[in-house]
Amino acid sequence: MEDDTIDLADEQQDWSFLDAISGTKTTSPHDNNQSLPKRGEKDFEQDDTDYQQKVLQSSLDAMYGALGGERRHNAKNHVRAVWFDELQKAQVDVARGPHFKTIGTSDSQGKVWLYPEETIYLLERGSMELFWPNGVQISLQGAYAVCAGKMGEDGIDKIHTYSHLKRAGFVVQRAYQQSPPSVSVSRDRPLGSSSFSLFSYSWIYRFNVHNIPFLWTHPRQLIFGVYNDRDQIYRDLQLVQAYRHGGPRMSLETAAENPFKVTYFVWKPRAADFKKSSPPPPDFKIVVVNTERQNMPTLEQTEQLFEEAVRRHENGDVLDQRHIMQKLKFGKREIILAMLDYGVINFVTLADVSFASNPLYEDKPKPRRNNGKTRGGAKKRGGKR
Amino acid sequence: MKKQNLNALYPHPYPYVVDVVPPVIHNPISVLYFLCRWIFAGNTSPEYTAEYVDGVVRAVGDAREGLWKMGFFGKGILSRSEPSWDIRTKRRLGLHVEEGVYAPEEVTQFRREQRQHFKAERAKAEEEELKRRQDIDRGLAVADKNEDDKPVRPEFDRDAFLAKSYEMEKRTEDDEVVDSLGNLVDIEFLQLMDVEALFLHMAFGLKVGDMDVKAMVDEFTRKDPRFLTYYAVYHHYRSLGWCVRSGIKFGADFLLYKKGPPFTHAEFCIKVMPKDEPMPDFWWQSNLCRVIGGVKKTTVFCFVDVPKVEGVVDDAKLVEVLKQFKVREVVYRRWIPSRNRD
Repeated sequence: MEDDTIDLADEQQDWSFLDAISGTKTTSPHDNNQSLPKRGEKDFEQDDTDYQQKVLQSSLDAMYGALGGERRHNAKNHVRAVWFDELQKAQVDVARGPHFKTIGTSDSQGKVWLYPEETIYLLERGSMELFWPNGVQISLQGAYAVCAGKMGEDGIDKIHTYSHLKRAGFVVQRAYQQSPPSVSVSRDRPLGSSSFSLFSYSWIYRFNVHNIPFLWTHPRQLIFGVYNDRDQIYRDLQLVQAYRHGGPRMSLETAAENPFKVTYFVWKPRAADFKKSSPPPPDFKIVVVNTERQNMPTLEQTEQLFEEAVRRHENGDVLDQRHIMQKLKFGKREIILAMLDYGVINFVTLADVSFASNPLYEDKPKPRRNNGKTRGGAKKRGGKR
Repeated sequence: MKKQNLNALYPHPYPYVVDVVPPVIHNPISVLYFLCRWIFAGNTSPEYTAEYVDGVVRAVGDAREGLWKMGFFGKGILSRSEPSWDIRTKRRLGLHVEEGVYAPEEVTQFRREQRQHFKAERAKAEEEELKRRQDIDRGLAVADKNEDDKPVRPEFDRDAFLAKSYEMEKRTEDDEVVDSLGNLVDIEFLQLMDVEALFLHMAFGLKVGDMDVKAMVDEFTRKDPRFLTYYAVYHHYRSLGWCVRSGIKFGADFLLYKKGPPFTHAEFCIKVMPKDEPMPDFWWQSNLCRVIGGVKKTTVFCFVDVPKVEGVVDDAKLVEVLKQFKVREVVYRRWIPSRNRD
């Protein structure tokens, strides 16, 4: 959890793990007991020892072995599809292979139809060929032209995002294929009202002999007098209205169309229990944005997105039992922006958090329960104060 | 050195000490007890005074110490944050310093020195290992050595190290800070941010020269037209129990500490976003989030609905104005597909 922002792709690649797959075992029997240096240690300054030479060579061989291996797919899974330009969809002749468990939509005749991004993805994998209805084959370049061309100005961004997530192993579907967006119902609770109970007697404490204005001139300050509860001081300080979970939105609802729309629903790779026709609630909702044409979403746009965002507890994530810091960092709902700059993708999560719903002063140390887990505390981390 | 009990050292989260009166329980004796306590309980809070000189709110003496220890307000102008110039200078000039008391800057120095030492030891071990391998190549040695001798962090004599590091630093100017009796004249003051000064004044009665709320709001707004917006955000997080300090180190507006800097690293970086201003582009957002993510903190965009403020803001009006501000937080965090697969 702590280093979930570190991207493995940013680090140097270690190809030796592919040795077993590519079948070009590069390590000879006699140096079986030697292991490669761990990733991250920069000790490749040349020191003219045979040992180092061997380590470098085996690492290089592993990479060549992995890249040189022949890539094949099973002929049984080879499929043909026909592109219908007027529908902007491709029809698969006979859907074969594991991909169709998660890709494509079936019509009433049992034919599988592919969206442009699905067509491109399967073509690029090499397991599918695409034809015009008259039987002429479409090249990959041609496929890009017909598929991306009519998806709108962010078509290519959507295709990139789709392929990126598919290659990372996720199940991806166009948003709202099954059902239109449902507007979540907000329970009305006034912003920023502090809880007041007649039985807290807090009003009694605010006045005593020392604080009666006629007898003493008390300073004009928010906090004065006697308290029976240290937390009451914080409650008395709370003036600014703050959004609370389940409360009303801060921005007014307008008719203006939100340029940020959920593009894809994404599920974690667990295809075994995934049903194309009745998918479970998505694990992530992705909004494709173009960094050239769009700025950060405004609060109003963000609030609109949150209304259809993924609720974290719906995915078995028991938010309410977690530590206050986790609640403040991950929030109740989240939406993911995939921002594209000429094919380069950066993902960012927008989390709906509320500091007012989780006041820090109420976070008192509790008697330690024996769960054997240590929280990622500040002590372990680097960073600056 | 034994680890200090920080909770005992800093028991008060704000510069206000209350006589906590027990709740009324419904029996005659406890009501009597309550009445006694209620009548005689007093406010034992310190009354601190600060000055406003050359556009800076300064606190010295008791206020300097109290405002730092009770809520971690302000910054010592000659120190990293906690005013500690006197400890460091006394040690440097060989004056009496209580045993076991170290300035935070000195503790950092210890850590750096230890780390440097450790790295030197490790480099030495690596060099030996290289030599051994080269010897094996030349047939001068056999490969049989156990490779587990990792360098250990050495024991560290803090006082000897400090004595050495301060040895060369006697200066002629030093005569000016020592009085005729040989005591150090403490010249360091605590500098408060404008938002801190107003907060301490309106909530806990800190006197800032002879300024009242109106004078402070006028003066601080003159310096920064968006002062009230930033103040509302500062007040919001203070009222929830956070220790709020400047976020300039990481390009944000505020840092949120749980309790305070001596306890933990800051957890959150707050960037104030007035709701109706144009939104920045994604490059700006990436800059900020990568810097903050790089130091293992969380980026919070705090959207603020800023009310129209008309007329004079005095102390009653300030409360009314604050009640019209609305805030909502949105956390931005980089999402890595490969880290979210299962």
